[in-house]
Amino acid sequence: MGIYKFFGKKPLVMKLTGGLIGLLILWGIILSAFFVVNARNTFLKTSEELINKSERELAIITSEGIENTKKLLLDTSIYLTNRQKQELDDIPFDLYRGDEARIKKVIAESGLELKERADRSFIILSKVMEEQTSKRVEGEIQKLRNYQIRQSRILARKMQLGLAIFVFLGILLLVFIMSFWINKIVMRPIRRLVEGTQKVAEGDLTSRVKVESADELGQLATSFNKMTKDLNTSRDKIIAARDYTNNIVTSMIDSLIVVGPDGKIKTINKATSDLLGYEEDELIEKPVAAILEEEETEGEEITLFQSARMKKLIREGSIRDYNMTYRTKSGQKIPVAFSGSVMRETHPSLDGEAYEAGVELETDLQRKIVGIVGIARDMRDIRNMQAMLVQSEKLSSLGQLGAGIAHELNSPLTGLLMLIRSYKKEKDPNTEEYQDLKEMQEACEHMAKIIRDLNDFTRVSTEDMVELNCNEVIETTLGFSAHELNKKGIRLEKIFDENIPLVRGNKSQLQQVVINMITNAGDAISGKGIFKITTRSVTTDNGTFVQMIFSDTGCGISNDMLGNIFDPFFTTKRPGRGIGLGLSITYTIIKNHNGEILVDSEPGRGTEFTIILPAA
Amino acid sequence: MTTGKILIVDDEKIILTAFGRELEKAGHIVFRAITSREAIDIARKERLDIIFTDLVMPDFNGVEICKIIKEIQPKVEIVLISGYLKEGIKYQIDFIKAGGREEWLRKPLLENELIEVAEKILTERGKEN
Repeated sequence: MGIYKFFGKKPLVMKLTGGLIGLLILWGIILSAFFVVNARNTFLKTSEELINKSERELAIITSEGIENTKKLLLDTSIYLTNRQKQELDDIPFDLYRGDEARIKKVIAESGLELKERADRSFIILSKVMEEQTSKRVEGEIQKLRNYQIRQSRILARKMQLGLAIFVFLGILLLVFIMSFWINKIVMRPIRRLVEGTQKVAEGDLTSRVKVESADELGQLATSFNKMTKDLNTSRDKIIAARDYTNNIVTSMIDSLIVVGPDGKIKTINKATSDLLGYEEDELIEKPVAAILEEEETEGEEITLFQSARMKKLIREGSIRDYNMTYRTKSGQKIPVAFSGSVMRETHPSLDGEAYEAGVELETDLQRKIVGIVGIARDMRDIRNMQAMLVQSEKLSSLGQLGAGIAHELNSPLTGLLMLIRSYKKEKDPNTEEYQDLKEMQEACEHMAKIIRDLNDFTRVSTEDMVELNCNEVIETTLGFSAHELNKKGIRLEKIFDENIPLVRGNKSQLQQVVINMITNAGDAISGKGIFKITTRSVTTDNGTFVQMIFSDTGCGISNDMLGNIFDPFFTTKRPGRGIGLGLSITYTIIKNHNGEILVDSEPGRGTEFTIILPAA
Repeated sequence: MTTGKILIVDDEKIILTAFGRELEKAGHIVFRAITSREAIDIARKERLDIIFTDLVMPDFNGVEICKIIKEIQPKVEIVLISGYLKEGIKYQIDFIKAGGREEWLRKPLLENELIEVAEKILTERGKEN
């Protein structure tokens, strides 16, 4: 692979040119070698043939001439004299040329002496022979030359054909090799790149093209890989960023909603779909008016984007804590505080496309509105809290009033009560005066109890908080109040969890709560019944809590009254049995302890109060 | 039945009337003071056995009265009367430090509570003497 490596780094054009030149040189060498060998062989062969033929012809001619001459000499020499020979010379040569028979005849008819005639014929014959021989040799040479030319032509034709075939085959080979070569260095990398791009086009950004060289295609493949990798990294980053943003949107507690300029919902988050009871997909592209309405236009067919406030939103860019109402899938209305701002496209558009919703826009910014993003805060809890705050403020001011009244009334009432008792003591129980004084005393005692309740009510505070065991609090309270239940024939059941954690609280306040629970049970149960106190610990995500459950088998509380039982001065008891502060006091105490009080009741079956206090 | 000289201090007139009547009926000699000033004046003139004093008063409160009178008559027993559980507890320690008695009476008093407390204190004093 040395060559391969060597070529690997060269530019593609060099590779192709180099390959082509290399092949041509190789081809030339092969072709030359073929010609040299072939030509030499042909030449040698032809020359040998020619020489052989010439030798053969010459030998024939020579031997023939010698034989003929010898014969002629034998026939004539003895008859010809010198004179005859001279005579013979005088005979026109043309007449005898090439015709031995005539020569002989001429000689025979000449009448010369035999010797002379012989000599003369010999000379003539010699000349004739000489002439004829040279003529024949000349002719043979001519024939050989012609043969040679013919042979050369045949050879040339053969060689032309061979060359044509050879060139054809060579070109074929060249084409084959070149195509292989091109396939190897051009087509295959391109194919790989094509496959790579197809995979990328299909979204597989992890695919990589195998880099086999460092030429342009290799560089292309490397760049492609780098590009794909960068693209992948960027995509991952974008996905991560998008996921992060989506996660923020999804994780938001408040409801998020994005409305397009056409007034249709484009995006909502999980809080929105959960709050409204819709599936996320159900709301996309629905008109926002289907779920969001302005409080004052409730029931009217006014679309969100035509309201004055929305125009204000678009004009000013944002609104904050605007009271609106969400309508859930089931039709329930949820008050929300809506804050929104106008989303404009990030890059200014110059086409100035008209705003579709028909709202006249006073856009000093030349950027198109792409939507309105809004956060809607569920106001139910806040409304409830506001209501509770009002309630607690009511209780507080009531408490202050109560404290003043209690303070002012307590002393005179004490004096009055003592005087009545004192006078009553002097009277005979059978007298009318005694009975009147007794009634006065009872009325005063009733008033004193109210004042004492009011007094205790106003004294609820968070001071003197210590760690307490609720079981002990209940036990000590029962110690001085259980007889109240016993007297009435109410059976007390205690199911205490001995391992409940301590709570932080004010002992006398919690005792007050237990007393209230006992008093309520005592008042609720007419005749025999059961009062059950259960303690247990409960651990939730928010921590560990102690539960005290007080359940009675009394008359119960009707549903329409359940909502009011913690209100001050609300009572279901008949006049003289209570003034309706007990549960209100209990509620306030438990709230001061960061606890909860829950009530569950069924008229005729009984009531169950569950008090939940956080563990210390 | 032991009897003694008892002072009642309260800014509510009916308390003075009622407590006085109750105690006089039981045979005690009763002095009444509607202000602290009067109480101190009486304490200067009369040798007293028991003083029942209100806690919250316009001029001095019960603790201060206790301090002043204890300087005049160290041997007198002073009992606090209060309408409020919380305040009673709050001032109790100061009151005891000032020489007052531990037990205190909460308004409104139970039937016969005043007489019982007075007799209990007088009996204790009788034993001491």
